[in-house]
Amino acid sequence: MAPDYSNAILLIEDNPVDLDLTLRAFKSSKLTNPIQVARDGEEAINYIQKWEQGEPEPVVILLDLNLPKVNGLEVLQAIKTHPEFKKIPVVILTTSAESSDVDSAYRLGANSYIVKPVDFEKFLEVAKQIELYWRVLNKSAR
Amino acid sequence: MDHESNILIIDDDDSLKYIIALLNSQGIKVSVATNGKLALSALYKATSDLILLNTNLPGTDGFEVCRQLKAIKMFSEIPVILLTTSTDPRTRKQIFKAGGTNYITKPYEEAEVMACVKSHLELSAARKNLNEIIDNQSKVLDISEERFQSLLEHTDEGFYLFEAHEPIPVDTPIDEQIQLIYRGVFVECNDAFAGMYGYTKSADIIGKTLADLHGGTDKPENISFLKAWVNAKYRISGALSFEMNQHGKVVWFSNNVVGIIDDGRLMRIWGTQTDVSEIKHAEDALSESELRFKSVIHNAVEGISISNEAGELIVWNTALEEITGISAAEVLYQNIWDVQLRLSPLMPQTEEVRKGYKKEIKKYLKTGKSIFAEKPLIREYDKPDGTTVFLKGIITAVKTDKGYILVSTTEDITDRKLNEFEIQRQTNELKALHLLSKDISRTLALEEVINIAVEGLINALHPDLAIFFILDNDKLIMQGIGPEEARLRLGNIPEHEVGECLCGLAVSEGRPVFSKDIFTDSRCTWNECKHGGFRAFAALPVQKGKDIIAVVGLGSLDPRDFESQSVFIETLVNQIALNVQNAILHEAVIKHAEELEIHVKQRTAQLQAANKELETFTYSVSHDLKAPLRGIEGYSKLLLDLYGKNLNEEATHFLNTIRGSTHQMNQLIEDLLEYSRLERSRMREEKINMKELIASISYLFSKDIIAHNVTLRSEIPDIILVADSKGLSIALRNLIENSIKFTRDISTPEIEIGLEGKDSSWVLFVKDNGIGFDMKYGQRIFEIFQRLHRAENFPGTGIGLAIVSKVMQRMHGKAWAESIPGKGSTFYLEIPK
Repeated sequence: MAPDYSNAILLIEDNPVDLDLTLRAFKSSKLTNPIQVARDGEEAINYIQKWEQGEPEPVVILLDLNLPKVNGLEVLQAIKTHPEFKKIPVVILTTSAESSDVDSAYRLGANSYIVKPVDFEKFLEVAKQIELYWRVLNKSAR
Repeated sequence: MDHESNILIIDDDDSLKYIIALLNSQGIKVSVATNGKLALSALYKATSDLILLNTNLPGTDGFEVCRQLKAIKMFSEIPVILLTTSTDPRTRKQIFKAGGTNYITKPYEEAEVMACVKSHLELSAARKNLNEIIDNQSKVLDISEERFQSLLEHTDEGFYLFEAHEPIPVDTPIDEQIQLIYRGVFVECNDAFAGMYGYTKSADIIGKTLADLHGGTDKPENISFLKAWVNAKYRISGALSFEMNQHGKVVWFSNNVVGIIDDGRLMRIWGTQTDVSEIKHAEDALSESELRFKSVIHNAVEGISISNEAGELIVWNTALEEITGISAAEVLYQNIWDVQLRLSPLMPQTEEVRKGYKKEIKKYLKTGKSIFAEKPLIREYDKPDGTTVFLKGIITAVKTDKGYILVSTTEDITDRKLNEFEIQRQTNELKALHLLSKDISRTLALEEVINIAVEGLINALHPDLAIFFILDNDKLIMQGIGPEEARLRLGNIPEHEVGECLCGLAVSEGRPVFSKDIFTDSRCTWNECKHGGFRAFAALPVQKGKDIIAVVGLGSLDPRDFESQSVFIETLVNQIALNVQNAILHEAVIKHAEELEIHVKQRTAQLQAANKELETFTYSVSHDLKAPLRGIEGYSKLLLDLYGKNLNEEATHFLNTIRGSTHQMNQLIEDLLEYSRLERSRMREEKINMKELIASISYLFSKDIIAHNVTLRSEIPDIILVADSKGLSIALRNLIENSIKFTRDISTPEIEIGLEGKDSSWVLFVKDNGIGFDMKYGQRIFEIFQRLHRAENFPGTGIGLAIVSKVMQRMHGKAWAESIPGKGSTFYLEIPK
């Protein structure tokens, strides 16, 4: 049975360690949404096409910036310029704390920007924040 | 015939009887004597008008009788006609030798005899008549001469007639003339004249030469008098002279001397003179002050001349002789206007001007008023020896009972005048130098500097050519020339080699080269200047220290001695050298700057590229180093959380150590990133409310402050300043973090934050009572990776203070610290206003 992705979170992350740690952090939080993963920018763009073809779009997108093939900012731009999907909240989750990256991301329409902490405890906190964010979103959507 | 004529015939025969009858018939009385003796006694009885004498007489012959007759004075005048039969020319000679008047040869033609007798009788009568007239005249003359002689003999005035030894042409040089005059002889004089020279009779003097009378030909007083007389055109009157008489006594005379000139030659001299010695001596005795006055005049430093009421110069003192180079003898008794004109060579020496002078001075003499009056006259005058002097003269009129005499004082102000010229010249030179240095300093462009230099040289020295060569690799290249006319005269100037011609020589010899005439100067080997008509030339090296960088050439069309102005010319050239040198340096600097600019652009581009690379690199580092770090951290945490129960104490310790190291490394990477961000990101200045900023930063540390029981005091004035807000926050954060860290072991940790205003800056400080540090490390602690404490005691990356220092550098401020170990530290941040 194919999982139900109607309330999915799309995680776009190339680094396997980060991916694993993020998934574990989500698991240890109360977040129960199904999670979809794209391993590079190209895959992320492919998701957009799938949504256009009728597959359900995610409720939140977590986007790493430093991605192979098509980089995160380009993916962000593709989503945020899309007439239909630009409404999906995009949270940038990246190692870079460069102001240029922060500025670019917000300019392109990112909804939030979170620097990946090294400390796992803090990672967990981030996951909690995302969950909180999601709940707030859901509430307003209803 | 107004009286009866008598003829005596001396003959012993009767061949004449017919003639006698004929003579008688004509009323002529004829006596006859047959020999010489009878003839003489007949003549004594009655004199005869004519004698006919036969040469052939018995006894004493006719020739002898004729001789005897002629020897007797009273008969010597009677014409004697000899009668002879001889036609021998020697006989005729004999006749005239014996004193015969004429002869008739036998046989006689009656008509011939009659004609001869008649004509001789008429002649004799005419002579008699003439003699009578002469006799009468002589008597008259005798009377007037007697009167004249008597006058001469009875007057006190000396009189003389002096005959030149030979006529003296008046154009003979004056010294020679005087020597010739000395050879002349006194032909007449009176006793009074003789008396004046210590003689008694005129005869004592007559026949004597002037040299005899003067006791030589070398007495200066006599010579100067004679010269004055010659120069006065051989005619003076009332002239005072003194002579030594034969007893060695000084005698003063008032003289009137007139030379008789015939056909341009001095023939004789008439003169009268009065002995004024007594008056003179009386005057001298009477007026000691006048003597003093005379001595003053003659010894005066000033030239003094005095003219009498007639305008004749009577005083010409020694100083004036020296000043003018004209001796008193040349001008004494001459007219003052002629002498004044002579002393003004700049006035046209024409008759018209002379008349003007004469008129004006005559007026002065008469009225005592003139344009000459009391007004100094400064004039340039050429002395006879060729030297030029400047004379300053004043002519003053002094009233006498006969009119005015003119006293003229003359001063030689040549030295003063030359000094004036010299000062004027120096002033002009200084002006020219000042102008040149002012103009030439206005620019640093070499071409302009050279043009101004050429112009400046022309203005200062007025040469006909000023030319400027730059020395380039042993070649002189023309870079400037003036005035325009010189450029046309010279045409193209080819390059000179060093050592070639005068300009090249100035380089090879390293000193100025002067030439008064390049046509005769073998050093001038090129022909351009000669063809251009230049004559004098100067070539001067333009030096930069010991090196020659250029050559200045000066040319003159007329003869000119540039060397006489060498000091000035070299000063000008030195000034030019300085500016040329500056201009050359300036050009080099500009060229260098342009090269540098290109270098800088290239380097900047390289740096920008390198920076870009570095940025990318740091970015990657931050990203890529952190990812594995997160892995280590995350999984060690998971290991502890999930399997901690199964691990013994040592294994747990290991895991914690791994995690501690991970955190430290993370901090290190964070700090490094921040530091590098400060280096590459642009600073943004904005308004900062300091009170708010410090409060917000302090708030970040509230957890630590409470945990460590720190007393934090901050008294910040309510001010707003413009600075790099972000950088300031980072710096403050680091300092507060440090203070908390180093007061960790203090029982009552205290931190104070303050802000003080200075003249041109704000000083922010963070003070603690922590462990402090040794001041010898005061500066080192701001360097990157410098740590003073062991990591296990006070963990840190050694980057924090480097970040603080970098932040302050960026805003042109300053960071420093003061500390006493064990007492605490104060960190200061100075923010420029």
